[in-house]
Amino acid sequence: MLFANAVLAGIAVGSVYGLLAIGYTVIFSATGVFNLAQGDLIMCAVMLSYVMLDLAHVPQIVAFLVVIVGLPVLALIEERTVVRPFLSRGKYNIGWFISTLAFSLIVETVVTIWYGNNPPAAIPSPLPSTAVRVGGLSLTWQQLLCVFALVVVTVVLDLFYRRSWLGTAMRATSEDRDIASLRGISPNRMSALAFAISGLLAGIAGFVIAPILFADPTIGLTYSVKGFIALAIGGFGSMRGAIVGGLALGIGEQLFDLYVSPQFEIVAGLILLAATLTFFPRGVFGGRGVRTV
Amino acid sequence: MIASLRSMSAKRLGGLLVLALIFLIPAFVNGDVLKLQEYEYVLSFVLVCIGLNVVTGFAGLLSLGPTALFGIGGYAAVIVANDYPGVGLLGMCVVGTVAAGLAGLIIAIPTLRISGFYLAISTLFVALLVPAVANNLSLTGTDVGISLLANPNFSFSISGTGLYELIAVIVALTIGLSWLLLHSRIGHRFLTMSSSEELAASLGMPTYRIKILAFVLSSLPAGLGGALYVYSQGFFSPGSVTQQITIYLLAGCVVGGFGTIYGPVVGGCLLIGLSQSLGSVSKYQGVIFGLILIFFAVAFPVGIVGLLTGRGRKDAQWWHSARGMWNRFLVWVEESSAPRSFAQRETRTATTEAAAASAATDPDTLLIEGAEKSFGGVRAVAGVNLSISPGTVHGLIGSNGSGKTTLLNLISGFYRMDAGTVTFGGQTLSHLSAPEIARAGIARTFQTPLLVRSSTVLANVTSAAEQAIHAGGFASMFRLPAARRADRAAREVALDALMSAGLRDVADVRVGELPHGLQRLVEIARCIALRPKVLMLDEPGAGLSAREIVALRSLITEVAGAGVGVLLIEHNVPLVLELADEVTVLHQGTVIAHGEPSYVGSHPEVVQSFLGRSQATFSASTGEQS
Repeated sequence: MLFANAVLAGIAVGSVYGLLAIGYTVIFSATGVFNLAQGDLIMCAVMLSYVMLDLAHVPQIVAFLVVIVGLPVLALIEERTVVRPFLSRGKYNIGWFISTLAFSLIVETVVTIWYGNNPPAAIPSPLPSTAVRVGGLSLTWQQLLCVFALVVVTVVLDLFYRRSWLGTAMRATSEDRDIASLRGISPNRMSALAFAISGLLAGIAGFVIAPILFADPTIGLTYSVKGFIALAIGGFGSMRGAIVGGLALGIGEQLFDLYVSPQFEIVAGLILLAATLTFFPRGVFGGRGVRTV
Repeated sequence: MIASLRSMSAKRLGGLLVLALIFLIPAFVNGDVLKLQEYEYVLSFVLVCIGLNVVTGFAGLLSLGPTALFGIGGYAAVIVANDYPGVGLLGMCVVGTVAAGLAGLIIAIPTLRISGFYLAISTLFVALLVPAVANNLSLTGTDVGISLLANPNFSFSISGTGLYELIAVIVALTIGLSWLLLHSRIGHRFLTMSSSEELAASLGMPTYRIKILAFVLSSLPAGLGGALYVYSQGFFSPGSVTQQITIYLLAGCVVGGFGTIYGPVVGGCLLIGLSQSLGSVSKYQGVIFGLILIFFAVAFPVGIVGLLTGRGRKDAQWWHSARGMWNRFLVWVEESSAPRSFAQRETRTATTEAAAASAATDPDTLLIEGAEKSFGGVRAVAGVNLSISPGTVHGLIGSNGSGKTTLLNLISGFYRMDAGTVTFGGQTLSHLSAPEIARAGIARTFQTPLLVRSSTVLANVTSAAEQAIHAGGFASMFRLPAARRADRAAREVALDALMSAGLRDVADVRVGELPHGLQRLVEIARCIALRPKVLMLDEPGAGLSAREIVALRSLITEVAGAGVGVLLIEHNVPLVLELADEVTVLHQGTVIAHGEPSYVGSHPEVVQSFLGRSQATFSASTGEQS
C-alpha cells in the first residue's frame, strides 16, 4: 500500500514534470531551441503565486489569472531578448545555448535578491487540505489538481495542434521551417507563439505545484535539468514521450524517497537517466513511429 | 634582450605578460595573506577554465557544468586529507586529479554514445547534484563541509607567498600542457573533429574515443583545481560549488575566448576575480555576469583574446562546432521518431555472405553489390553494382538526384545500406563504421569541401598524414623521440601530397583564405596524404577554373598511376570520359549504362537523358578533347 501511494504521489509530481517537458517540446518543435530557462519559468510561476496569495492576499482565481498571463509575458520577453537575436542569424544558430542559461542566471538572481534569505514559505492551496481516500490509497486534492492540469493541457494542446490554423502552422514549421516560411508562415511569429504557449504551461505547472513545493527561488536550474531527464526517458520531440518521461521521473523520485531517502531525491534522476542511457538510448518512445508534436 | 623581445610574436608576448602578472601578484599585496588567499581562490578556478577550454574550445564539445568535476576533485581531496593528514599537498593533488578523471570517464562513456548535447546537460546535472548530495551526506560534512583548519593533525607545510607562487607555477605548467596538447596529434584530431565530425570520420579518426579523451583530459585540471582550492582555502563545502560559479566559469571562458591558449586564463581571472571584488554590489553579480555572458555570446563569441589575436569577430570555432553538435542531435531525434523496418535488415545479412564469397577472387578490387538505400518512400539507390579496380579510374555520372552521392555515402559508411554489400581486400565493409572503412584504405572527398578553415593548408593535410603514420598521441604531445620522427615523417608526406597537387606555394596559407577551387585540391591532397588504396572524389571539378582543371586532371592520372583505384563522380562529362577506364551511369538510383567511355559516351539513352544534346555534337566535343 505504501508502494501504491508512492506511485500515486509520483504521478502527481510527475504531472508537473510532464508539463515542464511539454513546455520544452513545444519550443523545441517549433524553433529547434532547447530553452535552458524553462525551469526558471516554473520557479517564477511559483514565486508569482506566492506574491499573489501570501502577500497580496487576492482570491485564488485572480492569482491564477495573473500567473497564466504573467508567465507568457515573461517567456515572450525571453524569446525577444535572448533567443530571437540568434534565430534570425541563420539556421540553428547556437548562441541561445549560452544565452538561455544566462537568462536563467539573471532571473534567479533577481528573484533571490527580492526574496532575500528567507526560508521557503508555504503557499495556500485553493482546495481543501483533506485527503481523497479510496481504500488504502490517499491523495490530496492539490495532487489531484496536478494530474487534472496535465490531462487538460494535453487534450487542449492536442486539439490546438490538430484543429486550429495556428496549430497547423506550428506543425508545419516544425516539419520544415524553410518551406513553412515560403507558405507565408513567419518563423519569428511561430517562435513567439511557442514561447507564449510554453510560458502558459509553466504558469499552470507552477501554480498547481506551488502549495506542494513552497516558495523557493533556487529551484529553477534543477527543474530545467529534470525536464531534460524526463525527455531523455520518454524520447525527444513527441508529446507522448514528454508525458511518459515526466510521470516516470515523478514516480521514480517518490519510490526513491520511500525506499532510500528523501534527502537524496536528486539521485533518483541520476539512476533513471543512467538506466535510460543503458537500455533505451533513444528514450522509451524513440523509434516507435511517434510523430513530432 | 630587447632584440629577442622584438623577434617574439605579439601573441607570445601577450601570453608572457599575463603569466608575469600572475606571478607578480604577491608584490602588490604587501604580504596580506588573506588577499593572497583570494588570488589563490581565483587561480584554482582558472585551472577549471583551462580544462573547459580543452573540451569546448579545442574539441568543440559543450560542457555546461564545469564545477561538477571541480567539486568531485575537491571533495575527494578534502576527505582523504582529513582522514589521512599525512598525504600532504602532493597527495591531495593526485587524489583530486584522479577522482575527477575517473568521474569524467564515467560521465563521458554513456552520454557521448548518444550525443554531445547529452554530455552538456549531464555535466550540468552533476554540477547541481554534487552540492545537493554533499549537503546531506555525513561523509562530506553535510552543509558545513569539511575544514582542514579544524583538523589538528593536518599541517599546512607551505603557505603565504610560497603557496601562491606554487599554485601560479602549477597554472603556468597547465597552460604549457594545454599548448603542447593543442600542437600535437591529439590537438590536431580535436581541431579536425570540432570543425566537422564527418570529416574526422572520413579520415579514420575514432570520434567517440576522441570525444571521451577530450572530456577526461578536461576533467584533470578541474580536479587539480579542486584539490588546490582545498589546500589554499582550508575547507570544502557545498558553497564552494554553487550553480552560480558553474555559469561564471563558463562566462569566463566565453569572455576570454574559447579555443585560444590564454583566453580562459584571462577570462577566468577577470570574472572570478570580479566576483571576489564586487563588494557591496556582489549580490547583483548574477545579473551582471548574465548580461556580460549574453553580450559576448551575441557580439563577440571569439572572446577578448580571440579579438586581440585577430580571429575576426564572429569566427568562433566552438560556436560552429556546437551548431554541428546540435544539428546532429536534431537529426538523431528525427531518426528516433521515424519508424524503422526490420525486414530489410535481414535481407542484408543474407546477401552479405554471398558477396563475401565472390569477393575473395579479387581482393584488391572494391566491390559494391546490390546496394540499396531508401529515404522514406524514395529509393535513392536501388540495387547498384559497381567495382573499382586498383590503378583505374571509374567514372560515375548521372543527373542531380540520381543517387551518386548517396552511393558514395553508403560505401564510406556515412549511411547504412538497406541491403547489399561492399567488400574490399577480402573484408566486408558494409557493416563497419565510417572511421573503420577509412582505415581500411577507402578515402573520400566531399561535395562541399570540409576543411579546418582556421588552420593552414599544411596543417590540414598533416592531420591526415598523421592518420597514416602511426605514433602515440601522448608521445606526440610530450615530443618523445619516436613520435617526433613520426610527426616529421607525417609532415614530409603532407608536403609531398601538396607538391603533387601543386599546392606547395600555399602551404602556409589559412584554408579559409583560399579560393574555392584550391580548397577542393587541398581536400584531394589530404586524401592522398592518407595513402589510400581507393580514392572517391565527389565532384572535384565543380567550381574549378580551367587552369585548376588541368591540375586536377594530372593529379587524378598520377594517383591512379600509383595503383590507387579512383571513383570519380563528376558533372563535367568530357573530363570523365577522358580520364575514366570505365564509366557507370546512374538514373533514379539504378545503373542504366556501364562500360568503356567510348561505349557509354555513345549510348543513346545516356546521351539523350543526361548529356542533353544530340549524339553528333557530343561525339564531336569529346573528339576535340582527346
